[in-house]
Amino acid sequence: MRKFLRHLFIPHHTNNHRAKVLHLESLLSLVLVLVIFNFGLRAVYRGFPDILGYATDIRVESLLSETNQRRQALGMSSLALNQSLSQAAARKAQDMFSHNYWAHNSPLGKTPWDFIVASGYRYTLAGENLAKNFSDSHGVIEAWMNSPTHRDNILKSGYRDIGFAVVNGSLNGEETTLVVQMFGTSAAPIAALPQVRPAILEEASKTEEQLPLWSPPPAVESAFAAVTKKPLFNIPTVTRDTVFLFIGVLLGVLVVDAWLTARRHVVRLTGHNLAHILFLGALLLGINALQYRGSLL
Amino acid sequence: MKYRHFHFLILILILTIGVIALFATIGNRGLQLAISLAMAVAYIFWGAIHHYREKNLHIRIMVEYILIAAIAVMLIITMLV
Repeated sequence: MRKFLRHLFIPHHTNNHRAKVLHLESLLSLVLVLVIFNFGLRAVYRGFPDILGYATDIRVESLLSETNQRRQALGMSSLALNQSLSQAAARKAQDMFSHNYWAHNSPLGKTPWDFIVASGYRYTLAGENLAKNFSDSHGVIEAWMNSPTHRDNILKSGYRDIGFAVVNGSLNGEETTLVVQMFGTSAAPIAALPQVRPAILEEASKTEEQLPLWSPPPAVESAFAAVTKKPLFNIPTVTRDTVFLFIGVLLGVLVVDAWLTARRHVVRLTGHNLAHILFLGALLLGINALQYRGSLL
Repeated sequence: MKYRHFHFLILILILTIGVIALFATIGNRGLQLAISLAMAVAYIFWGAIHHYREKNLHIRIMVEYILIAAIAVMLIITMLV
């Protein structure tokens, strides 16, 4: 066993003074193993999402409480959860899934304000934040706060109301958890509504008649309140551990190989170990950027 | 010997730009995959030019660079499941 491991990982006369895992046929085998692993991973994810999937825990109550905490920390007033804005957010999320888009405006030209007006909320000021593929509520708020434009929305003093929808579905063929956050300030009850020009976009007034008022039944409303999933194996953990193990072993073998061959003055026709080490080291750093799945709009 | 240092500085520069670009595009997985592929291709070209200048460019060496780059690309694709 010891001889076999030495043959695999340490330069020796049995492996022609180059660790066996660094031989071309071994490197090719590693590529094939990774290809098969990827196919397997995707097949299990598609076929058995309860076994292998993305763990998600995003709830409207947490999003609301964290949003208000951020505002209160700066001495601003809390926002009230508004059912009409939540309905508008839910309808927007459904529209994004049905028309397969990731944007503030739909391919058919619907703006966020159309959904707000259609829900019966008469705004004088409104805004929208979008997020997708975050794993928890805190991550969503943190990402919004780190983005200047989204942060401005969360901390805008003019807003009074807020609505949320958290929905799971398929976007561009990828399983996606959407979070829609809608802000608004309503001037007055509809009967007494003055003719105030919307603060965001002037298109709001012309689309009032285009969408019928929509009131989802309570069961549908609750369907947009949270997305919680806890598969047996969490994909980010499985992939990160596998990738780190692969790079770690390769880097270790390369460092030992470089050190021993330099010490023994072995002359070989191979690539530069130092170049491979730098490349895999950069990959190790870059992998950290690939761990974040979430994106904002 | 000086040109060898220069070559490695170029490689470090390419990889640094690549890693920064990966962090700058967090949330855009398509672009991250494209950046990773570009890094892998740049690495293979770097290997070819470097060994050509060292006068030891050989098909086995190029295959080694290509396989290391392929492993890197496969690991990145694994992260982007």
